[in-house]
Amino acid sequence: MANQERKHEDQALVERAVQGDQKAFRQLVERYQRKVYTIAYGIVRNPDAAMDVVQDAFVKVHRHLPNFKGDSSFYTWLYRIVVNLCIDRKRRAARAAEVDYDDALAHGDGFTNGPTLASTGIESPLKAAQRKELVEHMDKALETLSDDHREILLLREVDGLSYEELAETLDIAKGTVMSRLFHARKNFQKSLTRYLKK
Amino acid sequence: MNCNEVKTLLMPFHDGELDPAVAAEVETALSGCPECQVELEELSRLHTFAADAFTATVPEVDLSGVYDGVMARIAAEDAAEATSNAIEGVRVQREDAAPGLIDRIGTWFSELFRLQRPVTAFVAAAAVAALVAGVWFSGSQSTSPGERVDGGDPGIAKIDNNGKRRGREGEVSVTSSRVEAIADKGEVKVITFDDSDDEPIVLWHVVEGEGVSMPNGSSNGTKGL
Amino acid sequence: MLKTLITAALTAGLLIAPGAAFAGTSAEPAAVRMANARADIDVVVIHATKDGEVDRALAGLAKTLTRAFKGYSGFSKLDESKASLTEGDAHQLRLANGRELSYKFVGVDRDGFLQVHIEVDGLRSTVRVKDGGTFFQAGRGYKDGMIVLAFKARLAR
Repeated sequence: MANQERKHEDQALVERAVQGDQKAFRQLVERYQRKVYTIAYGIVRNPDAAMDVVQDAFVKVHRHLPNFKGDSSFYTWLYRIVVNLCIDRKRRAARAAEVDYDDALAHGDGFTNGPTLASTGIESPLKAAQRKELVEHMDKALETLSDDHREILLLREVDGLSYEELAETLDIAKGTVMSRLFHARKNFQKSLTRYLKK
Repeated sequence: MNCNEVKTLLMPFHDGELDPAVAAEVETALSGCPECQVELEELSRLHTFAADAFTATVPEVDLSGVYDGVMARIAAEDAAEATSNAIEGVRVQREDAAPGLIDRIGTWFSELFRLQRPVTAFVAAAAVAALVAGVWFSGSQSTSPGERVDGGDPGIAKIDNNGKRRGREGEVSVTSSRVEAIADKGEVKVITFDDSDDEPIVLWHVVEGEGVSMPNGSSNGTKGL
Repeated sequence: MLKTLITAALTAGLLIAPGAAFAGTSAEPAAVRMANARADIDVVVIHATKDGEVDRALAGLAKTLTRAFKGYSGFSKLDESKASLTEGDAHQLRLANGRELSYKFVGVDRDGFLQVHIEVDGLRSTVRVKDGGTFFQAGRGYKDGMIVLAFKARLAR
């Protein structure tokens, strides 16, 4: 679905939700919950924490929806909320006493250690192992990219920013967004393919 | 629209970034240009490769309970807000919250996390309640707000609480002129205090799963959660 | 605005999170400045268990401990730390369970109570204590029991 259409639909849902239409709010939740989870997971790297963030984010959305002015898109607003929650969470985790290494593994507190296998419970061990391997390959492949390319790729593929948002965020022209994104994808594909072949 | 123009628009077309009107034009042009179609396929493959890779790194997760969870939490927060406004001074007892609500929260909480980690309903409910409603107190006989109890053993710290406020999102902070504690999500923090000189102040910090539970109803008046 | 936020997120996400960075800031109740106020704060780290007896080294605290922690009869002393702190000064102590405790003398307030701010493993709290008074922090599991921290604060003269 083109961005414009989606934005219009979101706006309509928001307006209805503000009036108290629960179904509209539910649609917004279901529409974006996976995206929120993906973004949160990308930052906190822990399935339980990411789940908490999903819930926190939508509770916050519900509370502040009347204040949402609509000068940005709903998704941008939601995105900010999610990222802020994740940053707060990371700050609090860093402030707590040094986590015992064993403790961290036991609780799946993989803020720095990446996804742990134990916490999800719905993945088959095989799938989880494959995913872990893929993550390692991807990290390596991402590292081979230039900073600009890595940044735009993550912002687009993980965070789902539109071209316009990318242009605003990175402070570049839309044309530059397109060419940079194209090259980023190309280089990433080349690099990851190389690692996967190993 | 000639082929060169179309080719420059293929990526935004694939990414859904074109205005509907322009997108329609591209579609029309595509039907007449096999070369363009091939290029679109290439672009699509390139993009999907990256997108799939990123999606695949996110663990599978069951999000079906999210909406219900969100609504339950909102209901709990609203209820707690109503309750707390009616309470003055120190005693915010768990009996004040309708037991039904806590049970429901407990069930929902366990449900939501059933795939992720086992959580006993009660502690879970307490954690949620602690999070949303404030730090739960258990203590001995209440004094009226603001009344200070003095005297007795000079070695014991005194406390009186006469205020309660909400801190940052996700935290509840109880502020009085004497004690401030911050509770984080997933943990139950309770301050036990006493207004007689027999019982010292204990700042309890209980984390679910650690095998330490709150002391339950005993002659010193501390009630369990 | 969005840019700064995203940069922060990327930094947070892509960099390895640092280890313990003690930050002792939360809103603290206003303390009245007493010129050159200094407090001696003692912390005793205790292992409390349901069985057992009170360590002889804890004789002075025995009565208070058994009153405060009904259900626990065994208390053994694991560690002790004494610090003499001026206002705003903090002191750190590594505990037996691997956590780090940090406590700070905030100041003396109008009523003569000493304010002590403690941070340990996610709990942050400021307690107001009478000169010479005692308070506890408890509840984190350790071996077959729990850790109890006994704080005593006294104005240095």
